[in-house]
Amino acid sequence: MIDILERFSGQLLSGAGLTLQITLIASLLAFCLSLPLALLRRSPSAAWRWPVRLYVSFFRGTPLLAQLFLVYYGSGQFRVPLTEAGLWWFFRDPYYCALLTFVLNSTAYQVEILRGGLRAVPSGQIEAGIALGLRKLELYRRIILPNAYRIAFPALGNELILLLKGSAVVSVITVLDVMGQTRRAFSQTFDLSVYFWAAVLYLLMTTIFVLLWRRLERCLTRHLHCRSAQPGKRRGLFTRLSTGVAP
Amino acid sequence: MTTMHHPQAALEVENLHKSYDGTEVLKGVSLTAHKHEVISIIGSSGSGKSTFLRCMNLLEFPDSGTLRVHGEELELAADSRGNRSKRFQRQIERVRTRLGMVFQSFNLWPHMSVLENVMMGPCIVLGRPREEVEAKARSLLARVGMLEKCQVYPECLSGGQKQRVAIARALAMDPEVMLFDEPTSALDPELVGEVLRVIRELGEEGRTMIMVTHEMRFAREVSSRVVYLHQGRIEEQGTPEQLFGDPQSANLRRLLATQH
Amino acid sequence: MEWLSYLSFTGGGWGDELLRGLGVTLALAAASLPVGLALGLAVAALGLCRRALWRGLAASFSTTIRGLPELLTLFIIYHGVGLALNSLLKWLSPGATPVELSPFLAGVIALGLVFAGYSSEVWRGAWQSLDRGQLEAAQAIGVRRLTIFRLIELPQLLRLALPGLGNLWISLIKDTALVSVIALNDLMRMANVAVGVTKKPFLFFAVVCLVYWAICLLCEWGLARLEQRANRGFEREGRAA
Repeated sequence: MIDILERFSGQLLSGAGLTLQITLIASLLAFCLSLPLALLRRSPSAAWRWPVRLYVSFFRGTPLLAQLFLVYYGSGQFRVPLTEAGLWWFFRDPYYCALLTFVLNSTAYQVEILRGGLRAVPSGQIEAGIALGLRKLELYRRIILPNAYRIAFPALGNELILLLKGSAVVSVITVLDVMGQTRRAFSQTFDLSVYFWAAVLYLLMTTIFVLLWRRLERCLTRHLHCRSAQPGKRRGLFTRLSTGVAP
Repeated sequence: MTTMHHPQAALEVENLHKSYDGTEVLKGVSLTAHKHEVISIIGSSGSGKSTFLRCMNLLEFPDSGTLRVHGEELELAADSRGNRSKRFQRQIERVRTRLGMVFQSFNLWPHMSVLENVMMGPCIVLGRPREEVEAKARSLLARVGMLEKCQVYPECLSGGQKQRVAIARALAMDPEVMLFDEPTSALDPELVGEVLRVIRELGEEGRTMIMVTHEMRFAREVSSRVVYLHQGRIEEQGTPEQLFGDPQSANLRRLLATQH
Repeated sequence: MEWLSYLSFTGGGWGDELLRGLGVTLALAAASLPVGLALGLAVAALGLCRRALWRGLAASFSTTIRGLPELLTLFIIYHGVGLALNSLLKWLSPGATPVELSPFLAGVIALGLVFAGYSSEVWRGAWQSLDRGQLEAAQAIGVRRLTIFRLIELPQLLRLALPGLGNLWISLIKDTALVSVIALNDLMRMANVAVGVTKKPFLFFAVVCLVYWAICLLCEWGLARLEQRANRGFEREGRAA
């Protein structure tokens, strides 16, 4: 068991790096895309709402593996036009295809999470802002979004973990993430302990992530636990972002 | 009806109509608040008194009527909700900055400290320099007795404390008129007093105030005028002595009898 | 429409193969569900034990399962259980020919374990949000503990757990696609085979996606109906004015 670890630790660790890299880049891009889409999803005009709704439903209603195949292998059917458009280098590369698929997939989930968060902001707090004469942009920036993201925070963490685990499917299209390295090592040795070490690695990653996220959440919701805010030091990220009027 | 234009009026509402799903809640209500007046609006629940107050700063959009704040006139109609021009929208925002609103459920922003709650309006909406706003916010908080809690988050305050902060938040905008929507209804009985004390002091300072309330005794003590709203209409109004001492309307008599 | 001929159910079309794959996919999901439900309930019950050892065991099972990629769990089961089975066989009768764990069985076990890991948490949450006052009310009028569980707690448990279990069922259907990687002839793999022959990857994977989407929408609709039924009498009060 230990000898397997000694032999493959380098590969497994480089796989972990790739897994983390894909997960973080994809979820960060999805994070940026999800806000405008979530706002469109709440638009009073059905012409804006429906396309987003359809998009979210499709990506939440199909297996990630099928989406990945659709993007990576499916693009092969359009090789000539994609080459002419100068995009083939992108779709030829399994890493980029995986990244694109994950961004599309995670955006769909994050839109839905954010929609729930936006809906859960108490209407009284919004009214208080309106009554002061805050414009729509300020209302969103200072009151609605800080609250919506705080409400959505645990669910966003869950989504990140799901993406981290889900990213294992990239091994099927030859990307050497943890899973890819593991499968390669197993095919060389037929030693089950490779799987054991991969499991340990995944558990380590998810556990560390959960602990980090919880810490972060405690920071962001400090205002809900009764303690006085120290002026100047240890101010919450959200208060700083949201008010801009801090003394 | 002739339209009288009061030079001393801080807020004039004329012939306000509002209905929800075909049910008419306000059936043509008019009210003029002169400077330094304290007006209490009373009525049983469902009489439309909260809706009336919320229509004044356009949290609810009336179907028709006229609103005049500090000489600026807004002609209101149901269809103007859908296609508001930029100019009209600005006008609404201006009106709102001139009316301070205090809600039944406080509606403080939980992610900001007490001081930040109070500073938000003047800083962001009025764009005043921050040092000036902070000094003013501190003095307002001192006035409602909340200065020592200015760095605390609202979640750590009692209901009465929250409402006092909410009052300071509204005052920070230097409003022409303060609107109170049942400011003590969500409070435990023992906390009502501290909030009423603050409101009373504001009245004594000569603030123009309109207040929807269930606290009849308090309304009698602080009001210069009491308005009785019944089924979407003003059924009776006058000085507190008139309304509470010698009510004309049978409905009002019934309401007062249940209160005491 | 040359596209349609690729999907036709006769002759050179792949419609019938895809349909057979869909049958395998649905059979896999349907077979994993009872395994996962039963195991999940068992784990949840273990989690409520007084003995800390059992509780710890239940917690570490669900944490581990939920922390591993489903694909890894599948490989561990497929290769691991197969290996264990063969060494057991060898130990029992040294001359026996080695068997291979069928991908279908491996899929059922792996997906069942995943479902169990997640659903035990759903049961736990439902149990915790039960109203204790009702239990006391029943005890106060002398109802026996088992009767209380059967008549009062179980129906409510089901109602509270239904939305969570519904979501897990939909995840389960989507996870079946992973089993194609260990060569189970499900919908996903049949599409792979079809692509290999026809060289029309976009067409077939798009069709596969649409089929999964349709199944998920159908399940969502059915679950919404079911929840509505289960929530009779729990409609939220109209908002106070």
